Amino acid sequence: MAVDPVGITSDADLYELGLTSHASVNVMLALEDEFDVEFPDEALKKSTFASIHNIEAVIARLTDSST
Amino acid sequence: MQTLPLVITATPSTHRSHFTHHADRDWPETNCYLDLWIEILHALGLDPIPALACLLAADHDGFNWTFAKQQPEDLRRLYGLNVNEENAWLPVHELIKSGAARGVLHTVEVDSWWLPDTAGTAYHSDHVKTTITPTTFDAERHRLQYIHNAGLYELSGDDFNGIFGLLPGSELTLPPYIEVIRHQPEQAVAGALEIVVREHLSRRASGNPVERLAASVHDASGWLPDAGMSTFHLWAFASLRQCGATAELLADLAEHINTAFPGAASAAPALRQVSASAKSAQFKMARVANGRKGDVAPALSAMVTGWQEGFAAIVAAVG
Repeated sequence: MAVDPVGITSDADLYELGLTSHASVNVMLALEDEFDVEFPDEALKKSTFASIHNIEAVIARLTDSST
Repeated sequence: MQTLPLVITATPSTHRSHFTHHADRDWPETNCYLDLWIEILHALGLDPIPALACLLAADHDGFNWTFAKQQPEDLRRLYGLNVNEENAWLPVHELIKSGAARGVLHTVEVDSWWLPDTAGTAYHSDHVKTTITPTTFDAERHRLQYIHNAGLYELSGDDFNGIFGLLPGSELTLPPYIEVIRHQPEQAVAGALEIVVREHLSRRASGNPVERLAASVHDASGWLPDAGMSTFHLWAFASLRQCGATAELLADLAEHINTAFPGAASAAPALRQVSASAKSAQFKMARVANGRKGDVAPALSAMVTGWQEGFAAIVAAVG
């Protein structure tokens, strides 16, 4: 993205801030590697990556269910 | 034939992108040419949706999805805009500069390296061919305002000189492809929307092009893991994004033509399903390209079904 990631609030619209389709794919892969999870089919949509809050919610569900 | 001056008065601070480029869309960016013309028409106060009728003829040939472009004959009949290749006998910056006095606009191929609106993707980091339309050209202050992708932006200084090949090392080996746009309102045709919709629909793909796309996606599952992520992104742009964006824009068209062709809007939900499923398929294929397993079949199946249903509704409405 074209903005400094430091200071982005958790509910900011990442697409409004310049998150591209290309970048959202890389975000998904990086998150799956980092947390050793796999986004379920219903989460493989644009809105999942629209904010830090949305991403946190999905990751929290996935990591909770794996412990 | 009377030619009226063609001027875009919007500036980066006043221009508001067309709704097809808003962040809530599945595919806010489609391809550079399609996006550019949406914003040109929007900035001129014209409705860009009718010119999307060309998408009704989109196809997949077993290798590539159609790289859709608004058709010159549609732009002429719908809006009285005459689009031709510019006779590029002068350096690019001099041609662009000539536009204001002549009352014409240009589209010009440039290198995204010099476009500040691509910060984070190509700006000063990658050489990517794209197309812009300059809206103001200030030779004295070395400033250019331009439409690109989903918006209207400004560049200046070294970016101004670089984009026109005026910096040492930035010289243009070949002249870029340049189009000149003239406003000749008498060339617009009454009832053009119905005409272009019928024409493009009559040229629609045989069978279901999404079935051919789906077969190529399944095939890609075999070679993408060895191709690297940079190739994946190029492939995804050419395949799933073009199909998904086509479907999402066709949903808008279907709703737009519902007055002329009652019942057409019923195609929109199925076409939006194609769009959303293409997004899901793109995520899954990224996994595959990254060396992991991914079952893309359900998403592709939803795309095939949605396209079938969407086109059946449009064909029934248009007759």
